[in-house]
Amino acid sequence: MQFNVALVEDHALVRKGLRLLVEGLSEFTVLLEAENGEEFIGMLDDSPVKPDIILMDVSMPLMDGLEATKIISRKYPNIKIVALSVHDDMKTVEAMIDAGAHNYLYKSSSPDLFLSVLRAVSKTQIN
Amino acid sequence: MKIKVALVEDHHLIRRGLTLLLENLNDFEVVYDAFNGNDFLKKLESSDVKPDIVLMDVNMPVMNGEQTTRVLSEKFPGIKIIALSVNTDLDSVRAMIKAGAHAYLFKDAAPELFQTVINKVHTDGYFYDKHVIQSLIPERGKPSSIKHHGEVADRDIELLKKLSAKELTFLNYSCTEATYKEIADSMGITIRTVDGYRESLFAKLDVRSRIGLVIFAIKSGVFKIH
Repeated sequence: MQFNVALVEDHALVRKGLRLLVEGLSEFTVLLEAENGEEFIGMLDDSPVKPDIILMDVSMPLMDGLEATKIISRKYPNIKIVALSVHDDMKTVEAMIDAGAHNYLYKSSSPDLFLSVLRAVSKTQIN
Repeated sequence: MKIKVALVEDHHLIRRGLTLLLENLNDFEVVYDAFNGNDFLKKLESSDVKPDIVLMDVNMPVMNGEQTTRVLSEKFPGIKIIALSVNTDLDSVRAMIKAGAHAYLFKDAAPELFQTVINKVHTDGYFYDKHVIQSLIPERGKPSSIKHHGEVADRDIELLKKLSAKELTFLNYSCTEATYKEIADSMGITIRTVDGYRESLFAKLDVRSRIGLVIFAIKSGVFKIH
């Protein structure tokens, strides 16, 4: 089965690296890329095909990951969101999960863990 | 031949992503990576392979980018350092350049610029964009970093703003023991071009000799006496 992924990350070099990492797995295709929550929600609304998973950075200009996650999880409850951040404090983790993120990964995580989480989340059924 | 690159970055996912990005660009070979400055210096000293370029994150635990750059540029002056950071403030840029970095790139740079900067630093020895230049120009009315010379005159600041990146580089080199021929070699340009920069600086700064250039560089804070 093929899964579509969206990347929301303000640093272009990091975004490009994540894209290459995700596309290293044959079952994932990067469908959308945006540099902040506001830009992404616009893209998501306009896109006829919706992503299955969103990799969402937390700290971004204009609209951060927390705000974007709240809006997306209300509007598109079937899309799974994985927060991806340098913040390793529990307050940020809890806030993102409360906002609707299905998982939270630190950017210091190993690429193996990242890809395992991506695979696990893609198989999760949303009730 | 591929340019040998080493990566120093504490976030594993970013490190892996940058490695993939570099390998994907074909010009580069990632010889090793490290999760902080200390880890990097150990790998560097124990390896026979030395990188041409080091991509150095700024904020890292244990040993940060500025500390690592200072050690690296002193111990291995032939290795070129490109700071790579989310920090966009001029203080951070200035600190890394003063520590010995040859370029400073923001992580929101486009992959195409990333490739260009690495190639430029490899061929020219440096890449000074407007952020680097701005970071080296003292702010109007603020005391110079050269404390014993007091405040930088507004006139000097205005003059500095008129200089191009290459003229600024030449000005820095003029404050060293290097001959004009050696400066030309270091900058990867001909002696004729060096003559051109010298004449242009003489005219812009209204000085008549290399001593005049050095005095201006010190007064304006471009060159710091340690």
